[in-house]
Amino acid sequence: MEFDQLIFQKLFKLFSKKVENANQAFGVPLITITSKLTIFARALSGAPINIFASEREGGWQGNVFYLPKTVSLYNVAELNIQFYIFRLFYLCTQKSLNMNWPIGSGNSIEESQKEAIKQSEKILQKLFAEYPLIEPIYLELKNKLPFQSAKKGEKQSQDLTWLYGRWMKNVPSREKNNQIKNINTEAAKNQSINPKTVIEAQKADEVEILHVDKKAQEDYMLTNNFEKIDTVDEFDGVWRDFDGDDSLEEDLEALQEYNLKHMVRVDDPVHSVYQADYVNNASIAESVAIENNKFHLLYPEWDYKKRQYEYDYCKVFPKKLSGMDNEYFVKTMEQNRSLLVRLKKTFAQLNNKWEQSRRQISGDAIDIDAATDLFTDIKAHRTPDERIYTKKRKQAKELGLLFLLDLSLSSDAYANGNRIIDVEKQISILFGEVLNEYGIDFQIDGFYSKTRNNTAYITLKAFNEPWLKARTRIGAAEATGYTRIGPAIRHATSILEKNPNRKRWLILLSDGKPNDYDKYEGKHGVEDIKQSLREMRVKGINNFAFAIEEQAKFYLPQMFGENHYNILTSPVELLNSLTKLYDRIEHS
Amino acid sequence: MTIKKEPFYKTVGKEKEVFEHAYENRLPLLLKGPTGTGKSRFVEYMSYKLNKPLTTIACHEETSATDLLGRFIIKGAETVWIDGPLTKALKSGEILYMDEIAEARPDVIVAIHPLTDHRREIYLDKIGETVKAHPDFMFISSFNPGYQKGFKELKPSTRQRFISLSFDYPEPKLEEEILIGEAGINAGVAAKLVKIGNKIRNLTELGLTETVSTRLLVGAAKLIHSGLPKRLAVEVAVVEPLTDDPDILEALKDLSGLMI
Repeated sequence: MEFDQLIFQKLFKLFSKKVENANQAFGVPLITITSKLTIFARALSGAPINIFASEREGGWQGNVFYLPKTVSLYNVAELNIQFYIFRLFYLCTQKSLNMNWPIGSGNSIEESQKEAIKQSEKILQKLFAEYPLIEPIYLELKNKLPFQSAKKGEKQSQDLTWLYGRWMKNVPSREKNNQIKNINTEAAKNQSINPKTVIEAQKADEVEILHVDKKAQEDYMLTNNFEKIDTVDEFDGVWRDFDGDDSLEEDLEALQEYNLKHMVRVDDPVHSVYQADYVNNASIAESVAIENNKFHLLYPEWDYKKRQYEYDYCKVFPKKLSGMDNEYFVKTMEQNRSLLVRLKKTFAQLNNKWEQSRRQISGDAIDIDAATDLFTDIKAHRTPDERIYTKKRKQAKELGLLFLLDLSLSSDAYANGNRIIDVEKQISILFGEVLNEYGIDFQIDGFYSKTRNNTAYITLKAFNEPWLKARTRIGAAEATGYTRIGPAIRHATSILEKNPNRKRWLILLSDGKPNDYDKYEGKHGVEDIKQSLREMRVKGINNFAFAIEEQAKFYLPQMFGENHYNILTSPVELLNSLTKLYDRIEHS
Repeated sequence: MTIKKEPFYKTVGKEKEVFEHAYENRLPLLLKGPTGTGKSRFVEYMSYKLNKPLTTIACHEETSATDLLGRFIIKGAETVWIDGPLTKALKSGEILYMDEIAEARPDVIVAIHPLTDHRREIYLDKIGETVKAHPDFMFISSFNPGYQKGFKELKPSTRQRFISLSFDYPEPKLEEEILIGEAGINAGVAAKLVKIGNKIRNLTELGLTETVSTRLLVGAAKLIHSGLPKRLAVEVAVVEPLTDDPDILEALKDLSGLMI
């Protein structure tokens, strides 16, 4: 930074510094109680509500509640928590009354705040009638709400927008024929570059996504330093290019002032991350058909609203991973040596359990039931069955396992210090070693998607392929694209259907959250996955899902139902519960 | 077992009529519904009303056909045949209630097939005998449907052999009456308990907790009636049995605290 810029920055900071909030010490950040509030919201509304931090007072939109990022309105932490709880009950009531701006209206923030205050009486009435214990909380919060400094001659007043929020636009439903053009499918190759800087963004409400027009982007001349953020402030129809240099920290000051109202999705690798939570409510995009000439299979997708299939809706491109990473395999084996020994021991125990076969021609002991039958038959002058022995022996496995790894970009994230995709790959390698040793038929596949027109289904190890050949391939799988789970499950089902074993299981390792460019998020994605699992069960194939992220408990059960999922955070935990699952499958 | 005292049962819809007609025509009946919605209570109630003895078998994954039909046992130097509960009920004309039938081993399902159609008989392969059902015999089973609920599901070919009745949580007003009838609490508290139950049931649909059955709410109502503080009663009788996840547990305690 130049000297004059530095001086300007210091002076600007000095004058623009907001008055320190006296209650800051008692401030409650939303993030500390998001989990509790999410449970509250879902219980009260019955909808899969998600909670996001807001720019300021917040409101509701679709299934998202926006609440202030931090609340320090009161000088007691307890009251600040109560504030969140009140706002949540209030928003649930407001949502149940469907009080918001209609779709497509363009009201200013001031109008939205005014409308919220104007209509508050109606909402409060219903709220107190339904939950009488909230009324005293509200009264206390209102009485103690601090007064804001007034202009000369004006009376001091309270900022009631905190209590009543502001109105937001209702969200449109899923639409078709809104296509992204010029999608860049090449860019994902460089995904191995790890971001060096991560900074959390200022919050923005009611985010809209704009579709990148690469052509227009190329025509545009760079004019400032913010081309790295996939965000366009005051979008005016001109495009600039996105490069990937790491200079985020230098730009931090100005970034914090940025309004993240309009967004674009790109799949270029990044060096810095400016992190902002958002839910794509408003816009829907679909890519035009790509790679049409390559071999692909068509699968349907379930539209829960119409209760019917969209036939031939998704294109799945089955591929074989050609890359190899022997080093990754060797490293995994070295790092997890003791874990592998333990795993092998447990497996030995599980597999060496003798199974007692009854009614055998020869054996170690007499089968009492069969012997009794023999005597009754003799007495009844019938030819007795001579199979009266029990025998202990190891049964043939009759088991076919398909591990499906989520290779989308979200698996590039970290959960409890472990990179999700690494956990997936390491577990596949360790489990592969053991399954191979015990002669169990298994396949390891991965998937990612870029819209319905392109779900890549990558086979890392096929059922009939020798493990020795396939094991070095696992390390070469990299994270890219999005998570369209439905088509991947359908394709995996068709593979398992051809497997001759009696017990066939699909085991999904993922962060579990369905998403794709073209609005695969939310209920549509969840319902499609549920439908694909139903199809699978009809064909006699079982399923189980492992998620490697704590937050998965808020959405995974919706897709996989009770008893068919497990949420874990470390490779050791995952290995343990995978072993338990194996035991359960083996003896089911 | 003959039921001597009338069990408390609040009729929700037309289930009583359906049962009576099914009994008249000796058609097998399947009760579907989540746990704690009054399926077993309903069977007891109808058994009392019809004045017929009732045999209940709780099926689990190890329940085999031998357990139900009967087996030989060795007594001194002789082998003696002992009828299983199903055979006994069949011969003496009782109402037989098999709870959670989907959990039983596949050979059980095969064994009951001839019992559930016009033949109304079972074949005891060990003694080579066919046993015809007593004219008063009726077969009832229950199972808990739901998306990916258990590892086993009832096959369509089995389900089609039964007249089916769905049980679900009663409407709030009815559920309140049940709480008042069972536990003797006042209407205000009953209403609050039912509201808490329904809010938590929203989470069940989203997969966050086990379900809040009417049975759990009755438990809480009884504790309140016998003098335990309301919040504590809800915590121990409704919230704690649902989940072990500390986050969800804490949230549910706070939420129910704000509602009672």
